[in-house]
Amino acid sequence: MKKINLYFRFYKNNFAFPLALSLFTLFSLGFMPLSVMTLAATTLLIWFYQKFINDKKNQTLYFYYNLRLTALKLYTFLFFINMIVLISINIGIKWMF
Amino acid sequence: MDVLEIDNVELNFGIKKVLKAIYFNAEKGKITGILGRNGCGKTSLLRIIFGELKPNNKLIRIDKKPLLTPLYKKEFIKYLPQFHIIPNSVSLQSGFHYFNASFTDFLIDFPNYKTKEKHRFSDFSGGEKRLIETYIILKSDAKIVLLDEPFSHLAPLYIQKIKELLEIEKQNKIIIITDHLYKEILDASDTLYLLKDGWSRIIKSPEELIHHKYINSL
Repeated sequence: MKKINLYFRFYKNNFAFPLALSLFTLFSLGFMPLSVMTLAATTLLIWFYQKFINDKKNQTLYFYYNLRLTALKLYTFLFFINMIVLISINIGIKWMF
Repeated sequence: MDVLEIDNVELNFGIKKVLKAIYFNAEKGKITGILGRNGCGKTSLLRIIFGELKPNNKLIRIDKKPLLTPLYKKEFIKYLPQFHIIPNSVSLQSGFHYFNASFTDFLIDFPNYKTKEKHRFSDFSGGEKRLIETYIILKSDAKIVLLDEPFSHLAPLYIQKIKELLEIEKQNKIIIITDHLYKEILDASDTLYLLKDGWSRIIKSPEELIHHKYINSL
């Protein structure tokens, strides 16, 4: 339970940009595989932005490191939860219209 | 888990050789202090032990058994870096909960925090955050504790309290500590190493620090 809470704490701070961009792709092009690819690309983008530009010393990650959560685990979680949200929205849209 | 050894550490930043030949061991029941000038590689060494920084070469052994996995992926190590680690949105009580440290024990040592259990970390000053984080890391269920400048920004009374806690916690933990407040390190440590020119040297008496030009006088 504690671990899930930590994962969602990380998710809460990082979900917006990849999800917004992949939803934009979904709404403007209506092509799900492309929006999943956008989601994967933007998730990687924010990871590399944090790693190589914004937080080179991993200062924001030490809290998670101390609790045995690696960057790989955190960003994978971020990707999959966003993908679940994306798929749910896609199904919702198809069901409504 | 009684002895942590680190050997053959080599770390380069570009062409600069920061750590060349480091060996030291830290034992349960003893506090191991590391001293050294700014930029000599103390923090890098702790990051290497923690497993977050990959050097060119290193060998870590615990109870004589080599360990290849980064230690932070194991449950038994906690590291307090120089900066604040607990996010500002976390409440004081949750901070203790995440690290399996007792908030009740904390209130016994620091009763002035009794009314602040619901406060978020953003509500505390830099010194208070340092105190709380040091306490949480030290009192967590870890078997190896790495403390990078735990005394910085702390009031003298709090430094004394942390030193008392170190004395208690060392019975069950391997504790490695570094700080620029060398008198506090000299006082708290049972084994002391000096990092200089990329090498580690064991320090048997405070006078050796003058000999190695770390300080001018005691």
